[in-house]
Amino acid sequence: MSISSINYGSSVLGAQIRNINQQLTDLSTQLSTGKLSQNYSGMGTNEGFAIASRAQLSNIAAYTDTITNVNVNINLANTALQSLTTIRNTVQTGSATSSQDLNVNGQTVAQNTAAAQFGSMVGVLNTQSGNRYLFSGTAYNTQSVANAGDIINGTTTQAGLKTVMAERQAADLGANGMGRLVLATPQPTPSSVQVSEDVAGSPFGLKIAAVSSTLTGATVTGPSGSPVSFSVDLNGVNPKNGDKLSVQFTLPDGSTEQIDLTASSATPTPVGSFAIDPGNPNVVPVVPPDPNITASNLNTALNTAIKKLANTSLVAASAVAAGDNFFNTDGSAIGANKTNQATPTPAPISGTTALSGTAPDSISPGFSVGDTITVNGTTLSFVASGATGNQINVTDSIQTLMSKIDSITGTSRSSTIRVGSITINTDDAASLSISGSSPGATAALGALGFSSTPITAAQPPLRVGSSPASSATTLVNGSATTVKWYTGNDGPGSARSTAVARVDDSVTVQYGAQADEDAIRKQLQAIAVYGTFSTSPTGQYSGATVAALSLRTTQALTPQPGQQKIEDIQTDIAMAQNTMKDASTRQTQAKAQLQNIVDQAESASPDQVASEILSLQNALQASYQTTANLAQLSLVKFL
Amino acid sequence: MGLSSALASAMSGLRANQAALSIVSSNVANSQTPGYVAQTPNQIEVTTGDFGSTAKTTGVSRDIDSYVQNQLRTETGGSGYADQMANILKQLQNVYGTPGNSGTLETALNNFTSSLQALSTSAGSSSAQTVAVSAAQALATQLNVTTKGIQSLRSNVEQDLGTSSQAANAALNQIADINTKLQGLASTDPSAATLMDQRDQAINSLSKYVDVRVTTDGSNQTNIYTTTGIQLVGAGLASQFSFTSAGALGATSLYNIDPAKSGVGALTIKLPNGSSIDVAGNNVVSSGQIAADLKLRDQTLVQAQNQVDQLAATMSSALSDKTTAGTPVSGPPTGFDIDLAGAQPGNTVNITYTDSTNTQRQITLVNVTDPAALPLQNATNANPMQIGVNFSSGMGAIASALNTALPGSHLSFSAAPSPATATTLRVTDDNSGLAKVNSASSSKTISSLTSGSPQLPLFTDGGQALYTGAITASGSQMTGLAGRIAVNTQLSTDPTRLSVYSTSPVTPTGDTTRSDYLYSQLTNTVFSYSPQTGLGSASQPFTGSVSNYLQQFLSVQANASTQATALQQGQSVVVSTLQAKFNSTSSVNLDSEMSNLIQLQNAYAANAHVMSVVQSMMNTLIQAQG
Repeated sequence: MSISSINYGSSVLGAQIRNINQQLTDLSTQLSTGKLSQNYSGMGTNEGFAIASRAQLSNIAAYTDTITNVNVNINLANTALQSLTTIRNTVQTGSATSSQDLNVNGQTVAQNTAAAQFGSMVGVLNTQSGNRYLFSGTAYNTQSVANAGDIINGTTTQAGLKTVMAERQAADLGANGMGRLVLATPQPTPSSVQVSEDVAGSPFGLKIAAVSSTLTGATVTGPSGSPVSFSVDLNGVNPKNGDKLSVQFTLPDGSTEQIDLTASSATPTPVGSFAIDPGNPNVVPVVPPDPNITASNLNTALNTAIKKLANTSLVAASAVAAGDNFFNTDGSAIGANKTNQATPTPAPISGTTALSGTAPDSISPGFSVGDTITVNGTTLSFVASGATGNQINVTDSIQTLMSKIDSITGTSRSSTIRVGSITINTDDAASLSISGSSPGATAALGALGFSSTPITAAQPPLRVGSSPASSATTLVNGSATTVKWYTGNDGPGSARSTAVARVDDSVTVQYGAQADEDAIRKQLQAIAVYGTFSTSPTGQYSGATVAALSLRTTQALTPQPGQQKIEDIQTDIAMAQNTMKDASTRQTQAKAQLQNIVDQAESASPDQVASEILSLQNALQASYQTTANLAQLSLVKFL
Repeated sequence: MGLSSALASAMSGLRANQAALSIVSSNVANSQTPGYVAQTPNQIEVTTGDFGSTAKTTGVSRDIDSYVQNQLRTETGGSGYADQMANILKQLQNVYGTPGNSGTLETALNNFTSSLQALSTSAGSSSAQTVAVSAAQALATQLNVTTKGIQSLRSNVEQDLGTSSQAANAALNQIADINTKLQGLASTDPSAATLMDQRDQAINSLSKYVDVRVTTDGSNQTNIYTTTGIQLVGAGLASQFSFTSAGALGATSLYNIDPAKSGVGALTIKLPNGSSIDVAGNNVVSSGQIAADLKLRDQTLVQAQNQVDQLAATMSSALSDKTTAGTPVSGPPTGFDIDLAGAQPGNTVNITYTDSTNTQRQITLVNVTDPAALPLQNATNANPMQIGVNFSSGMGAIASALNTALPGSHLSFSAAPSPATATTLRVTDDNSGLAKVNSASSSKTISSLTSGSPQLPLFTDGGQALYTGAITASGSQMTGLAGRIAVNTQLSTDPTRLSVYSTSPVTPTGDTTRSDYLYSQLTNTVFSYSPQTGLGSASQPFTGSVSNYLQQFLSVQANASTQATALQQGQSVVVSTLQAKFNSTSSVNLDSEMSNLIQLQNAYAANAHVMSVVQSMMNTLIQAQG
């Protein structure tokens, strides 16, 4: 407490000295803390800017943290993608070599390599950054891909790829190993041969695509009918040497193969030829050449050629198709066989069949103006003429309708129509849904072969529909009994958008990735099929089968124009990294400026403080001296 | 003239010298006594016979400059006021903490927004969720601590009111007492001088607490009034301050002119005639420490509390209130349909319209369920204008209440016809073409953590109760919210709710909708703030992001503190200067006292010499005769 009887303290001089003392204390605090004050009021008028700047600085610090973390993720993802590319090159180099020597397990060295690489690819896809699985989309805490062993061999309750491939192979080959084709036995007439598919609308086996013939005097019928068949009738005329019958087949993987059978009079009959019956001019009476024997020879040659094709290329194509069924999310809605309204004999509907009207080649009932159908949520409406966008003219053909639907579903495989049956393809079977919005439209869809509404596709993984597989005719949803290889998130929207980070006030980067993206899935699928497929080491067709599969694998691993490549994913995330780098550069500058504002408002310059302390010290000393001198000046001293 | 008369004159000289000497010695002795005013002897000559005169000391007079004294008292009052204001505001600054350090609101808010951003980046990892929840808790705690700091300052000020009024009472009693004693004494009486010194001293100490106007009448009686004219001392009678403390104050303890509703201590002054006056309600004192205490307790610190309450309320509502735009009605008349279903007390409907003068105006309908709180008060030209209605009282009743409340607006309220639900209110123009409804929206507090909307009641009133801004007769829920705000206990037990906003369908892992929303609400979204916070006005409220608002009110407080300190320093210089000026005339000057002493010594020697000469002359006369 101050002693009030001593008045000196209340004098101006005394107050001033106390003031200087206080200032000295403040300045020494400034010197030690480097700040102007310990509270808001002492910071001066610019403190408001400092508070605002600190809020921004805190934001920037958070962004910087984000950028650092995301950079780690991106770098790891990039490394992973780079190793995927390396794996692809390794397997591709192996599959492209000509050596098809089989080991005791019925696999080539390249296939062994592929099997090993499949394991490492699964490992790479399960890369984690911290606790985050990089290839799981938004389900970052779920393993991206099932274990390699489970994918190939399955679990106790669910089938793996190996089982799916075996089933599919059995289904594609059929019981007699003829690729589900049937040679008419006996021949329909002694001079003709006939080949037909076993069941209409079955997805399995070889499909007759086209037949052409240069056989002199012969008639080719088909391919036509249901199930599809073709026949060749020699009409009692022997073909000439070198005349050729060509039959083109579509295989389950979408590839086509051709069988060429050449009429030959050479002895012995060369491979891929059938013998023209020469008769026997050396006996009496002379036996004339018998076209019926030639027909029989043709029948035998067809049998051999089909069997060979079925056991080589078809087996390889079947393995590829099984891989697709197992790995891919695509699917198809297959319509029933339908005919147009031609009289008296209706013909199967085709791409050119009109969607309305009374012309012979049109469906009945047809669509009418004002009908709408909904495709995956998008409305497609029928107009009289001048259709634009999601409109279609009622006078258009089935082909136009299929193209419109394909452009809405965004499928990578066009929808097809084959002998009266429409197949609507989609890349995402789960999302396919087509329905008519009015009874008229629903009825017209029925006339196109789709009687149940909405039209949906069987969802993958697809399994052979019935047992025994060799006589199955459908592919069904096998998700309950089949291993789900991709365990991450597969929501709508792009894979990149599954991981979004805000790196600046208005800038976000997307750096997500999913193991089921096309580029990764295709590579995984091709390598898995190649590495898993095995055949009998001593089989007659084994070498050719493996060669056919190698060819297909090599092709599948070669990036195709217009399709996603691993490099595309790398480019995308590299862009994200660039965006972050730009943001980071901007923020570094902004940070310096903001820090400057804070410093200007709050920092005490040591030089200035020191000089102020010095001048205050002088003032204080002078004041003390003056006070002391004044105190001496009293008359009391001199009495 | 005879020798004897010369001897008598010399004797009187000696007596006068002795009296003067005793005054000099008393001056010297009291030179450091507070309130002592230097005295000078009043000496007169007294005629004796034909020739010569004797000296006589009749009393003392005080060297005082009453003009400076009055000014000094006024400024002492001002200084007491400025000291207290600066002192408390400086302590308030300590409540806000050191800028940029931990333990400040801005750091807590920045940490919370950063943690939300990190949560978005990590797509809802559980560690990021926990960090965000604890950052929210830290922010809530910081608001609680700030409130506690402000309220303990208010309690201190309340306590100081008691102490100050007692000190003032002591001074008042003393003055009245001395007045009584002085009644029988002449003003030149030496003992009167001492009493007057004491009385001046008592008035000086009184002026520190209240502002005083002092008049002294002819009979040396001092009357004291406040500048507003309330008599504090009238001759021998003193008024008395009486203070009843309310104990520790909370944010909801507010002054009310009605003593029954007032939550703070009552300070009254009891006049000598027995009547009592409420000091705060009648502005009895306008300066001095008591005036400063009242202002701090009932205005300055209340506003500081309003500022943090508003911050707490804005943050709570920003994260929990879902705004739904009205459905346009094509008309004519054109307008909007607004569904009021599910509105909590305090939830609002905002209507923007262009009035007949082509000015854009806003109306806020507030859901008030307590009829005692109606109608809501609005400042002149308030924009938005607040109208309280009970949203659940049926559309017909609401529409007619609103049509009555807004007579000149050219707006028309009605229950929306079917197929709209029965809880839908329609607002349109009145088809006169004089007004146009531009937009209408409702804002409702989401009560569930998993409502399917990104909004959630992250901050609550005390951990469980929703903050909706409800207005009741006892006040707004916002008052004191900063002291009660807490993170929703359901969220503390389950931090995953910071990412999961729906349980059916379950929000997929990695969905950052909620954290993104929370982040943008706290950093970018612009809100409007009540003029009670001292920012903006009723017709033009302050708008800005939460961070802007924090920055603004901290700056305002910092400036207020700086200005108060500057005022205090200025005032103390004024007081010092006046004191020095006052002292130059009224305090003891040792030099002049010493020179007086020499003169007195000489005069005494001279008088003694006269006596010795008279004695020798007497001797000569006696020897000549004998």
